Amino acid sequence: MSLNDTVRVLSAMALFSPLDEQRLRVVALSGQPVTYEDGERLWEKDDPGPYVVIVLEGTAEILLPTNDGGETAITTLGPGEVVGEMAVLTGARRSTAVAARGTLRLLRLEGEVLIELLTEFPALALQLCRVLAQRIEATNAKLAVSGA
Amino acid sequence: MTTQRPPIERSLSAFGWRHARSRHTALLILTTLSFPLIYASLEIPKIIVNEAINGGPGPRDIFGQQVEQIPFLLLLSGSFLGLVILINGFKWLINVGIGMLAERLLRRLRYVMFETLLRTPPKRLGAMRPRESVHAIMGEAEQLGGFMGELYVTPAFQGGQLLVLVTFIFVQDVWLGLAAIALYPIQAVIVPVLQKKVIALNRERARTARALADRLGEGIVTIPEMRLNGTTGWHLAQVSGLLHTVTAIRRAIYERKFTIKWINNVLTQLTPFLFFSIGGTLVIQGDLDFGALVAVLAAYKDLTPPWKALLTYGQRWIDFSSRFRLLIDGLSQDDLMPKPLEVAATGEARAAPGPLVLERLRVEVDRTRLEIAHLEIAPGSTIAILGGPPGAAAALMRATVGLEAPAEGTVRLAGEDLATAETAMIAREVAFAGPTPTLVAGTLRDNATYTLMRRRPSDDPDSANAPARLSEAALTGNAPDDPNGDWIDYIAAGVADTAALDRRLLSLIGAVGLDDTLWSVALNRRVGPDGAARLAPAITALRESVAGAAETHREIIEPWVETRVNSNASLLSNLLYAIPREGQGDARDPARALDIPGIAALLEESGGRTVLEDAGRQIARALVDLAEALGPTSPVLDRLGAFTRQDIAEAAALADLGPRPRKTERQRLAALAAGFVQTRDQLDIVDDAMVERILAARARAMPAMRRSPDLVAVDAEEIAPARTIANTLLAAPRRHDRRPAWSKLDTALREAVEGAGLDGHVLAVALQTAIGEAGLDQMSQRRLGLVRALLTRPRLIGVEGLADGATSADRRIRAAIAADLPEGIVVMAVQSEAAADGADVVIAIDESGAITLRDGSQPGGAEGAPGALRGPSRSDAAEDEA
Repeated sequence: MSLNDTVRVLSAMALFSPLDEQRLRVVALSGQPVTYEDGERLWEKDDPGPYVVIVLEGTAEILLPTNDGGETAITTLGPGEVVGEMAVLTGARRSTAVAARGTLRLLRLEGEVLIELLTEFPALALQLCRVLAQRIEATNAKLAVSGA
Repeated sequence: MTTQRPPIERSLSAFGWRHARSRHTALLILTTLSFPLIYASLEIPKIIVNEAINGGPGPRDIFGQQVEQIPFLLLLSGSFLGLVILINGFKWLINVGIGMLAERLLRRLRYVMFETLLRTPPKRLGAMRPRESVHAIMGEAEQLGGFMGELYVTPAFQGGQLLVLVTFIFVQDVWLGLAAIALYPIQAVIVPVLQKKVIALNRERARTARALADRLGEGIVTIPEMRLNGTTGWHLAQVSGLLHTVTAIRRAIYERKFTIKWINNVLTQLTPFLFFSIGGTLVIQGDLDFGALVAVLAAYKDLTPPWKALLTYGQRWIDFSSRFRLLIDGLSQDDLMPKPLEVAATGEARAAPGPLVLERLRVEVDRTRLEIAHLEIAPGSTIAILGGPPGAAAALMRATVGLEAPAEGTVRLAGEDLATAETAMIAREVAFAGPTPTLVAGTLRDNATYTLMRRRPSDDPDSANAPARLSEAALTGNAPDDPNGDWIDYIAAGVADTAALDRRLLSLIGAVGLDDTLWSVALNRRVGPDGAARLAPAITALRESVAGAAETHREIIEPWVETRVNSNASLLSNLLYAIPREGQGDARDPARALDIPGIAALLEESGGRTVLEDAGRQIARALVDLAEALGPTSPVLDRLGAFTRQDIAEAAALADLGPRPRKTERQRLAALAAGFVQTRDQLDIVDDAMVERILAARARAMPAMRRSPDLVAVDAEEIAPARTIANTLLAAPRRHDRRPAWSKLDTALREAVEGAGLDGHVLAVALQTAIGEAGLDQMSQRRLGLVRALLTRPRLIGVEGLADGATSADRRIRAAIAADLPEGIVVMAVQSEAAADGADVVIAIDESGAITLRDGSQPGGAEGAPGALRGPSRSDAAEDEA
């Protein structure tokens, strides 16, 4: 996957919307492009979470253990979605396992690099707050509906 | 803490004098000795004019010898030349002396500043701003340094020179002497007053300019409202008012600035006017000889530089004295920790194992109070602390091991209060493995053994630079110790020598699960000439032994194919289809390979050189583009793949080169591109057209490459020392985008290396990898932090951010810590109940901060109030099992 392809994916993401193409190239080059083959695990539940990944191509499955000792995919994530940011921001362990469904191409950003990027581009930090706040609001709305 | 004497003298002059008294004195003596020579250099021209030139023909009596007019003139001229050389020789000596004096005082000042920072008490450490401290030690001290050297010598030398010149003029004629100095008071008083005013006006101008910028910004943002409300006129008037203020200030500045210039110019010319008028009259009247007037005019010419130097010195003295006070005020705190910080002795004098006793302990985290009335922990116990508001468990752990002072209460280890214990005792008995271990510049080994670097190395008598280093250290009050000496405290580690320490280190690395990382580092190291010699006899067998694994995981490797570009190999290797034999062709310093004549010629002949230069130009442009998006000091500049900050800084000069760059510029372009690896460095450089050009150049280079003594073909059986161990065994590079899967091949590669009996050599080389190049991820850094904490065999260890979960790896590390410290007390901040499994004492904190102490051997039971509880030790458990 070329740098231009990576920048194209990033530019379509709400998180990176405040950044122009020049800055998106900085983000892309600050990370490492990595590829996982079908079934390969990105991490396990309770693993430490020192980095985030951005899906560039393919599908990632978010897995939770089931009562019978197996596991189930609670959701899948596609291009332009970020995985693992909560563990990086809170220092907590991974709350789910993640695996590749088919060939999965990602941009891996180490936690400290993400923090440096947020410091370098304050607009990105603000946008991350917005994205996270929207996520909490959506969760609250879901909870309210299920409660009703 | 008792009040101590400030670490540095409070005034610049006292600091400069106290630490370099003898040097200042020597320079002052040298300065004084030069004055008679200066006087003589003024007197001789007078004699030349009066006696040699105007004295008429005929011999002169010189020390009883008859000398004719011309030889007499030449003798005097020669003496004058000799004096000039001698005076300048003195000046040379004085200037070098000033330079060295300044440098030594600067070294002393920087050292004391850093040493004082190291004595900052823990409660102030958090508020310290590293960047400001570094700026103070580097930038601010640097400016003071130059001035400190001339603190006494400059006024003495310039003042003395002035005095000699004025005395000379007075000796020739009192009136001329008075004329020479009459205007000095005006310059000394009026000019500084005017200058002060100019400085104040400049500040006011800057303030007004800022206000104007705000008004302009406000105006632009408000344009829609301005139009809507018709307030354009009001905004224009505001801006106009400020523009008028700026103009008025500028006018005031100009008036004063040029008044200063006018005064200086007029006064400078007024004195010669007096000399010409008064001196000329005196000569005409016969009251002054002509030679004396010429000499006075010459002396006057020399008056200006020392006078100006004295005026400048006065201003600098005021400026630097206040800067020095500011600098010192920041350091002169009363609460500095005492010297010395270093651990005086080695590992002898270890205390006998004793319990950890927490007494009326209170720790505050934000608004939560964590309290333990009394807790006694026996040696050989593990305490797990969990729960509470964010950061509570970690804060309690840090207080428990004495890392942070509690709000109240005491923590005693074997009877010693950790708050007041000697630094040496803490260093010997307590260790901490935290979430962000500090990595020091150096190798992996340096970082792994960092906790042991506290034994002053004995001086190597054979070291050529030892005497110079020691004498300079003595002159500047710096530490005399050899920074490159062996600082390891072997006794503290419980080992006899380096070899034993390395064995212990590797065993700990294995125990905490860092061995896979170390092997990964090792496999990515270059083979090197030594490794090549060891691998060579068995390379065919070794490659066969890893072939199976390579085939199973073939998607991880990108094999070399003659007709294809390998996107995981460097551009240089792709062009040559080979690796430089001894150079660093595949490394990040490919310029060295380009300097090898055979390789340079091959690249030139095959057209590969042009490909490299064109690619270099594209890379440079891309890097400039990146640099524009970031500030020059941005830490992100260090994160852009394999490109260094220096690459990016140099790229600006290379990006805009004309069509015909110079040879050195072409070389730099080629060097920038030679190490470029498409999949690692990501920039879109290798498009279809570039692929065609690379393959064409490769085809042209191939026949000569096969014969070249400088290159090893990528498909050759022969080993290229510049290749990594993994690449050598696999005969192909691994895919950079499959890095997470590299470990699947590592086992096979590791077994091959072990099979060849090279594991010891390879791991030793890996430990010598620079910490930056090792590329340890955060977890590996934490494990490295744990290794170095365990290496000191502490009686008490705090662990945070590591082995705090319920995974099997976490459990293995917890078991390894307990096994390594059978008599040690381990305090861990953990994330869950499951992670507290196996602890002797569990300290559970609830959301309100209330603490429940529990005997960890009985999960969920034996709960107690935060009162007395004695944890059963691991040794107790061992006895039970026995």
